[in-house]
Amino acid sequence: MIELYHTQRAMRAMRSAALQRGVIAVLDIGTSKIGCLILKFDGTETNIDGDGVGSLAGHSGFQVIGSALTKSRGIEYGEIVSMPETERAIRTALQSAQKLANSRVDHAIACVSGGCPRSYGLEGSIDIKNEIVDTNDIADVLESCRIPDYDSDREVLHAQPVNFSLDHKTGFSDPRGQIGKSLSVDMHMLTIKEKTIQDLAYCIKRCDLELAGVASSSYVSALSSLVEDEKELGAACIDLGGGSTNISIFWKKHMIFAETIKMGGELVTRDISMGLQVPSSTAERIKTRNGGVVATGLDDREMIEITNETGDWELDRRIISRSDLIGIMRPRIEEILEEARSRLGGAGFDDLPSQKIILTGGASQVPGIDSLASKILGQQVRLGRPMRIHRLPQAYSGSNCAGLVGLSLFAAHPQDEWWDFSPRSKNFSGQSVSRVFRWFKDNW
Amino acid sequence: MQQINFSRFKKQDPAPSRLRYKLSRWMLSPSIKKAVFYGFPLIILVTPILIYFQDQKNKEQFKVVASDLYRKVIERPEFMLDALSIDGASDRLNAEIREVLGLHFPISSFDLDLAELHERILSLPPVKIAEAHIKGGGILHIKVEEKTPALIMKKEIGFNVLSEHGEYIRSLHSRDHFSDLPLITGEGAENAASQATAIFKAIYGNVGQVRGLVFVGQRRWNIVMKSGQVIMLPEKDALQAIQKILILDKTEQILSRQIAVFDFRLPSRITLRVPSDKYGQINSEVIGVRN
Repeated sequence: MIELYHTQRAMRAMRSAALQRGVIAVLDIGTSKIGCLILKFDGTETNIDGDGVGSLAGHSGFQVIGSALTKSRGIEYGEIVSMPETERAIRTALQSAQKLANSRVDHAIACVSGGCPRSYGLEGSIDIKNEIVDTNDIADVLESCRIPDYDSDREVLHAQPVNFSLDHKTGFSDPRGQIGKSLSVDMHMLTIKEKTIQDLAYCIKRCDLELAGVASSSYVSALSSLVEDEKELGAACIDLGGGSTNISIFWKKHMIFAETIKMGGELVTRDISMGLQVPSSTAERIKTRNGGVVATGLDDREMIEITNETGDWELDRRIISRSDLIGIMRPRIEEILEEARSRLGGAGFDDLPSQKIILTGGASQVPGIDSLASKILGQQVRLGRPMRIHRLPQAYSGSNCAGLVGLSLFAAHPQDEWWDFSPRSKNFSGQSVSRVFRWFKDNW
Repeated sequence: MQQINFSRFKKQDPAPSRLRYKLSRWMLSPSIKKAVFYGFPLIILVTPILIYFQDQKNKEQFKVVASDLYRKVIERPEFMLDALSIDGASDRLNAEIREVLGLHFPISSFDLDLAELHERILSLPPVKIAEAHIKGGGILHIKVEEKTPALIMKKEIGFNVLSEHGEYIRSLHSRDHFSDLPLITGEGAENAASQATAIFKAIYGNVGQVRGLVFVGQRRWNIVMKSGQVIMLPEKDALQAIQKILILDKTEQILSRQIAVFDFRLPSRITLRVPSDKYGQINSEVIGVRN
């Protein structure tokens, strides 16, 4: 735990060094694609106005100067299975983004989608010595949280204080300066498999980059897709990715739950590939061009030509109707959404005051998925698209790049985490300073 | 059936090799980027020039061409000077100035260094103020003001003409041309020339037959009369002592008495010395002088 604390602190220091240099890369390493944005921080962010939000929702301080999307290799279900392949894919993305940016980048912030994330709710409380809560008290109360017994092969990815209570009054987001006797905190901690994050760090290191931060991909895609009200009132973000589906629940502007389902759009592609006996590239193409989940009578008459290269004419020149395709796709997507519903139910999403659900990610671009999702997940479903950030190319503004955009927002304004508060030092106090003085007096 | 060679159609790995990736990153690092964008073009431009000038022949040829061009420009008639005019100098000084400048007309005004000419004119002792400027019509105009000779100082060999303040003007073999100037002598006399001028002013017309002033011991003056009498003046307040002498002369006519030395060095105790050959007989006239 202490070691992790130090590595996370080191990453924070790296991030601030990168911001000082002004250029940082964000890497979304997904199962189906690897995206890279190079951000330039020019310090032009204007002061936040009276509403607490500046222009572009307070994200005007940076702009995208380089971007690249490339097919992902060596990754299954959000986890790296072939290091050299992944490294090559990252290199491809980075090189083209650097070329576009015409500048070299040395720091990267990445997100992890796999690794079986597990959420924990932590509580801690302390008595305040000086009546007025200050930063040291917050560090103390965060330290007082009882850390649950998680497996030794897991690492803490996020540990965010969600809610502070002061003398039975709860709901503080920042209790500093308040007067009270006892301070307690609710913290949300997310652990993932150590190996996943180590593999990722190793791949990035092999590309000569310094890792300046890691984030859960459930968290970052929600950051870019949810609007402020949804974050405040309670909402779930379902990022339907290629290899995995990431779920996160937000309430009171903080993530309180994150989860990953190892099912995604590539399963749909595989179903099509198996059902129609076509290569997966063809399956992917007809999925994106003609796919859908709600069949109408018109779809029986809309024919799709399938080309193949087996050499067997009968197999290579086939025509299927769109209804056939929908018939293959719908059950799988239903399964994914149902799994998501059960995970949300397990997390207690039904108890939240607001039942808003936001679908984002590449698979949410399937036509008709919103009507299907509202049947499964409830009426308050909408399709989310990532926020606008400065100079983001049009090709990256789709919901498949929600993670990438969210990661940019995370790079610009990371949330305070447990390791951002330095603990009160036990063996250093005012007394020892006077001891040093005395030592000098005695010896010089 | 012929086997189709698929290797030609095989797609290449789009990923850059590790080396290539590193190279591209290296090329994008700021210093290298600058070197490529500015350094290489600069080298390409400068190298042929340097190679050309490596050859001594080329270098000399370039120098010849360049200096030819330069001379052609500066020797245009607009820039040429034809004559020198000097204002306010005596004939003798005029000749001296011309000699010291050593200009051969016509000359280009670019080849003249007016400040240096000015210095050179000022270095002539008789010149007090000088100015040099180029007048329209190709004339170099020099205006000088001479120092006025005020004293003549006898040296071991010859004489020096000095200004009022003791500045050296010129040296002479004989004082024929300047016989009207008062004569001074003695080691370091030129440094106290203004004192001498003041003394001469005080005694002018009142004391006849002054031969000159002698600076004694680099601190005080003796007035030497044509009769051989010597008036020793004090170091300080010489003019007051002269006043005293003049009053004494008016009342007692001491200067016309037979006295060799009037010693006024101590104003409170004036001493008169009779000529040594008559030292045995004390002159009653001498005793009659009041202190």
